[in-house]
Amino acid sequence: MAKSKNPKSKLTPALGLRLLAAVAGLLVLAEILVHRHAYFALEAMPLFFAGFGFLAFLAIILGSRLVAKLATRPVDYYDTPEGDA
Amino acid sequence: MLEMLLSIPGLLLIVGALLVPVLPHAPRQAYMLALIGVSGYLTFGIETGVHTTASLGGLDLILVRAEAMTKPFALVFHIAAALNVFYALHDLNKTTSAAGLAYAGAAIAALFAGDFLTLFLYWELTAITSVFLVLAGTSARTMNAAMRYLLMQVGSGVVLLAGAVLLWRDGTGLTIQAVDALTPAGLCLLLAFGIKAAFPLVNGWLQDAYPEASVTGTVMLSAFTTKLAIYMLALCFAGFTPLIYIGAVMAVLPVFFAAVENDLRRVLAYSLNNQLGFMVIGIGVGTQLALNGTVAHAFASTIYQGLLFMALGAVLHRTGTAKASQLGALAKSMPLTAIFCTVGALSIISFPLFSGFVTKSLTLGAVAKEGYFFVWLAMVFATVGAVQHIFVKAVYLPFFGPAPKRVKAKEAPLGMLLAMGAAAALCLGIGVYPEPLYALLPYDARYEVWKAGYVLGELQLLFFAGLGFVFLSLRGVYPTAMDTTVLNTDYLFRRTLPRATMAIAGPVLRVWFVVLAALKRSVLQMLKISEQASRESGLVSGIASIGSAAGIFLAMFALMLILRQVM
Repeated sequence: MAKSKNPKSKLTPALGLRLLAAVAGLLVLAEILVHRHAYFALEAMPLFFAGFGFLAFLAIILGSRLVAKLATRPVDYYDTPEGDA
Repeated sequence: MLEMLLSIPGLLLIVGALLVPVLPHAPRQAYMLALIGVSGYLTFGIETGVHTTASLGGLDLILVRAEAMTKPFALVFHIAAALNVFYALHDLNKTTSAAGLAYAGAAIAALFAGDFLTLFLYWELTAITSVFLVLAGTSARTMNAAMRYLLMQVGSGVVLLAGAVLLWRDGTGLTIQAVDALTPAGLCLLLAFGIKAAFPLVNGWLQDAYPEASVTGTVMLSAFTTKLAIYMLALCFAGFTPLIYIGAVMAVLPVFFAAVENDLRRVLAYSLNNQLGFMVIGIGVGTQLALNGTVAHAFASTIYQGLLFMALGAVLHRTGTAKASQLGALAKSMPLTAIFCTVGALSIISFPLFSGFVTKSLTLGAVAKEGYFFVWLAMVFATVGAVQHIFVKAVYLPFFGPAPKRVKAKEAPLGMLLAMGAAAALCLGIGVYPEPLYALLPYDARYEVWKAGYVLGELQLLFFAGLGFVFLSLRGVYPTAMDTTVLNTDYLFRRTLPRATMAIAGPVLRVWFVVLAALKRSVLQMLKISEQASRESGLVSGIASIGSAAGIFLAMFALMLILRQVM
């Protein structure tokens, strides 16, 4: 899939970005005050959910590139003469 | 007659739908709402237990039976049916209205079926009524998509019937109850339910057909069929461990496809598949908490998934497209739709105070309690997937993102706004005050979702997933939506199967044609010989009698005729 040609500010306006960063910062700080009860060892790791959320998002986009490479066809793919069952 | 009409839940809607096409527009809407109201009132009063039985040719049928989990499903089906009427207030299409009402009725009746034969009847009725909703679509591909849809749906019913017959033959009886999945009958039923619940490999029909339906049709479709299948799976296969892994695949795989798909209603169809995965996991785990989670999640997701389909349907209705590559900045022209859609998105990503959070957490908690680490991780991953394909792709970018070109749009019509507003209010209401929903759940098992640590973990997950999007878009590598066909498992039926058939049939046909050609040559040879033999000085002219000569020719003509036939 082609890379986005959007200028940097277009998809994420500055104000929203600052707000998001501020809330994310607060959530990191809150970890000091709040005890997270964990069922699994990995989950008990500090900032597990923050790290997992961020990395999972990246992994999804990376994985979707593979799908894009392997499984996308022209939009009229099924309308071509080979016929549609 | 009237008594029967009122005593079998859903039947009122099925029979009542027959009158729908003859009524003028406004009375029709009022009439449908009244029917749904009466049906909902009567249905909600039904207590757990067997209520109506019948006997047919020696078979004992249970027409009405309520289980502990019947009530929440029946309630949400009525809510969805009523919301659909509001949503379609502007729609003058009588076929869609009638089919939609009968479809809802069939699904409700199926919930109360106590035996597999009665279930089969309503199972097929949902297939037949719902195909009209797909057919109401306007694209050139609608007809083919509808036929493929019908094939899968009716096919599921046929497998269900096979399972029922096998059960009956084994002497187990036709009553709907826990079934051993590892018997021929059990496997048939699992496949029948699995097709409608969009299990991996048989999920293609969902993403294929739902987005081809009309604006109102897709919303109606999204509520019933899949949730009915979840309900049946929960009744028959609770605790069947392989379902945990089937569900995990359902929750995770569609995430990648939704990320590539450009048609946002198709993205929602993938997302529906991902939500069904969570429910199937809950059924597989099978503990009381897990089943409560499945039922609660089915209840909430019917509403928020419907809301998302409604909002993007409204966009399609007003702008003529639901393609991500052509949409942006819609919040300016459709502010209310944008707000409602955002509520739906916050619900589906299970943001605290919205309905997905208080329902999905039950299943998540049950999976963690039972110690299925990787399944739990898959569910958390799939939640981030919903942030990507719903929150960012289907809501943030089309409504608040940059516009590729100026899209002129008006706010959605009043009926649509009413339906979306009510659905959004329910999402928020359940999220803030889940107790009434919890009280409806089949078991007493509870899970404390409001622990500070748990809420914090959830918020961190969601906000940092959002930061993942920011990171990618700032680096300019967040993928731009592009118009393509994304191959899905319906490829198996549309391309692999025909090709495999041809691969086997090809050589056989080739041999057949060679044999035919050889036979044809030999007949021509014989004709030549006979021609020579019949000449004055020829072989048969002098010696043989006329009778035997005629016999020889007759035999040859017969052979020729036979060859002509087979060629």
